[in-house]
Formats: sequence, structure tokens, C-alpha cells
Amino acid sequence: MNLLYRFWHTADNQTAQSFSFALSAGDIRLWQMPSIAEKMQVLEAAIGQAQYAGGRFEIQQGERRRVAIKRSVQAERRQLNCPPPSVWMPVQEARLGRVGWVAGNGGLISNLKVWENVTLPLWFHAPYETVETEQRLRFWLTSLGQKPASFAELMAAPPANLALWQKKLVGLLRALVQMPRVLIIDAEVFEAVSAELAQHWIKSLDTFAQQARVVLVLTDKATLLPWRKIEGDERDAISR
Amino acid sequence: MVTYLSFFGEQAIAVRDCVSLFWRVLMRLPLLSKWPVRKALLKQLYFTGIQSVGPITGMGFLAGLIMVMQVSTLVGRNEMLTLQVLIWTVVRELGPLLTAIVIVGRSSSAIASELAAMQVNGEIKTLQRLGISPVTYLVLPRVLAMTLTSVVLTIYFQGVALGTGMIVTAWNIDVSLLGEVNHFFEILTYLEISAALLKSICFGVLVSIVSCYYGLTVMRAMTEIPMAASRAVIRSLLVVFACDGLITVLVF
Repeated sequence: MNLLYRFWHTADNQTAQSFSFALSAGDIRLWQMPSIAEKMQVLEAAIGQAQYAGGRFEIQQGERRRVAIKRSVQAERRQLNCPPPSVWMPVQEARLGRVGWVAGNGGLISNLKVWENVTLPLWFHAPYETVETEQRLRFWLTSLGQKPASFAELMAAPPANLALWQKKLVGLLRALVQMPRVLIIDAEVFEAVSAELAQHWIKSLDTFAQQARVVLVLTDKATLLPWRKIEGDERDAISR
Repeated sequence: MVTYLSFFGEQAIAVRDCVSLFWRVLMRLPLLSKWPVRKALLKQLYFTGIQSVGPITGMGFLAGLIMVMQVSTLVGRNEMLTLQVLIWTVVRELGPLLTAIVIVGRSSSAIASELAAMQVNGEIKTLQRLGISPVTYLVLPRVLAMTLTSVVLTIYFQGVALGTGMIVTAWNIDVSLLGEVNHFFEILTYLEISAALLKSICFGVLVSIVSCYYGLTVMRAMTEIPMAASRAVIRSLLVVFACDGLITVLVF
């Protein structure tokens, strides 16, 4: 089992999310939060921007075998019965760009055109040729249900000229083009889009996950999204 | 009394934060190798630099003309003294100062309001969530572009103002323009060039850091955007004059 991402519950109090889980390559899982505030809190922690009182998100470091870990952290891991720590790292310390994120409203930068918005995180975190970027872009845009004829117009548009569903599409496209190992998605992105388009997006995320990636979809309400919910403690799965 | 203390306390915190912001910018200079940061730098150079050439040309021409006309009425047909006064005023003071004022007027409020709008719309947070440091992507290119622009535009302003001044002098008191240019290079000292260069670098850094700082420190209200812009302009002018005074006292 190729585990890529995991959440360790470390809080002493019994919160609603008092469980742990791990995601293997190819997994797409849904995590329902009791409120928007909690969802945003977890989202911040899941992408490594903040600490979360309820637990810790960790990412697998791939080929890295030996990681220097503080004694206090080692003791804490032993106490929690964590598996060998050598290849796991808190998300906050992971290399930037390994964890991607899709905002509920697309999360675009208003003074950049769509093309610049899409390439910003990709080119910021690693050098890519324009040709390779365009190939990726075409692949994912087609996968997301867009016609090739509309690509150029979409890429040249400023975000202010886009409809909400287009902003969401660009936000999703930006994350897919970046190809992070772990993708955190706000489930709000699937709201207020046509069922046909949502199906394309769901299929695209399946394709994405099949490329040895994981997707964690965060929601604060009941949803019809097809992925399996994280329910109950999955600590056993982590230890396997 | 308490109000005054609180005011000075706030100013001290702002100074500390600006110094800290500048330090973080310096530490991130190697990240200029990233294409999006370089692209942001080029955009900023165009906006702050290229688009300011027109106003700077106009101001340089008028400053040179006014200076020479005023000095001529004071010293009469004394070519050397006119030239000396022109160098004192244009190279030492007016060049860096007027260029900084143009940059403050054009770019300081624009930068502060742009960053403030990004902050209010949650776009700064978006950048952070994408793993992009706002200091690297937003502040570094602006500081670098404004500093470079300040230096280049100061030299350009001085060239235009001195050129105008010398042409008007040559025409006014009927002396050779070439001879005047020769005299100019004899009179001009390295100290004056260095002081002007130092001033333009300091002004560029100060204006950009102050503008970015006030842009980034707004919270979540739309009404804070114009306040940030106006604060950035006023504080930028204040630090430019303070720095000018300091360098003038220390160097001359």
C-alpha cells in the first residue's frame, strides 16, 4: 500500500473529528466537517498554512529515507504508536507545491489573466517549458469538458470577465496543471455548476488520482459527490 | 498625553515592521530566478519606470528652465556661477527629490491600493495557500523595480534639467554650449554624483517598502483601501524628505 498523506488525531479532548486516517495513491476521499469555520480551519492545516488543534497532517517524503527528527517529536510518535517516522513529514515542512488546493470560488488573483493565474503556482514552484505547460493545459481543459476552440479566449480573459463556474473551472485547472502529490479541494467548487460539467470534473479528478496522487475533498454539508466519506477511526489503515 | 504616546508607539511599530519587511525582501533576492517573480518585476518596471518618463521629462525641462532663469536674474551674465548653482540644486537636491515625488505620486498610492485590494479580497491569503510568499511575489519585484527606476529616472531627470539649463544659459548669455559642457564636467565632483546616487537608491527603497507595508497591513474592510493609499503617500513623502535631510547633513 503506497500511503501518501495522513491525518493523526492528537487532541486530548473528544472533538467531532477525533479520528485518524491515511490516503494511498489513487484515493479520493470526502471529509465532512460540522461547520464552515471548522472546514476552513482544517483546510488551512491540510495545506500546511496553519496548525490544527485537532491533529496533524503529514505527507510522505517519497524516496527520502532518513529525515532528522527532533527527540520530542520522536517521543510523541512513539506515544501515538506511529509507524516508522523516517519518510513522513508534517505538511508545514514539506516542499512547497507538493500540496495543491482548490478554493470553493476558484480563488483567482484578479490582476492576473487566466493564463497567468494557471501558470503562477506551476512556474513558481518548478521551472517548466511553455510547450509542456500548454500540453498539460490542453489535456486537463479537454478532460474538464471544455472545447479546444474556447481555450485561447479563456486563457486571455481577466478573472473579472468570467462567470462563477468558469472561475471554479480555472481554479481546478490551476491545481490539476500543477500536479501536486496531494490535492485538497473545497467541495463548494462543485456547487452551482451544471450536472454535466460536474461529471466531467469528477472524472478528471479520478484521472488525476490514478496518476499516483491523492485527493481530499472537504465539505461542511451533506453532498452527493461520489467519493467515499472518511467516517470513524481509520488508524488501523495507517499502521498497515 | 496618552494619545501622543499611542501615536508614537504606532509609528515605532510601523518603522520596526518596515525594517523587518526590507530584511525579508533582501533574504529573498535569490528567488528572483523564478519566472513569475521576474515577470512581476518587468511589469512593475514598465509601470513605475517607462510610464513615468513623460512626467519626468516635463518636470526636468521646467525645473532646468526655471532654475536658470531665476539664477540669471540673481547673478547676471556669470556662466560659471550659474552652472555651479545648477549643479548644486539639480544634481544634489532636485534630481533625486523631484523624481521621488513623481514616483510617490504615480506609484506609491497605486501599489498601496493594489495590495490593499488584494488583502481585502483574500488574494494575499490565496497566494499563501498556493505556497507563494506574498513578500517574494508581490513585495520583492516592487521594491527592486522602484529602486532601479528611482536611480535611472533621477539620472534622466538630471540630464534633462541640466541640458535645458545649459541650453538656456548658452542662448541667454551668448556663450558656447560645448564650452559650458566642458565646464560642467570640471565643476562636477564624485561626491555630488555619489550623494545623488545614494539618495535615489534610498528613496526608491523607502518609498516602495512604505507603500507595500501600508498596502499589506489593511484588514478586511473596503474603506481601508483609500486610507492605505493616502497613508502610503503621506508617509512616503515624509520619509523621503527625512532621508534627504539626513543624507545632505551627513555628506555635505
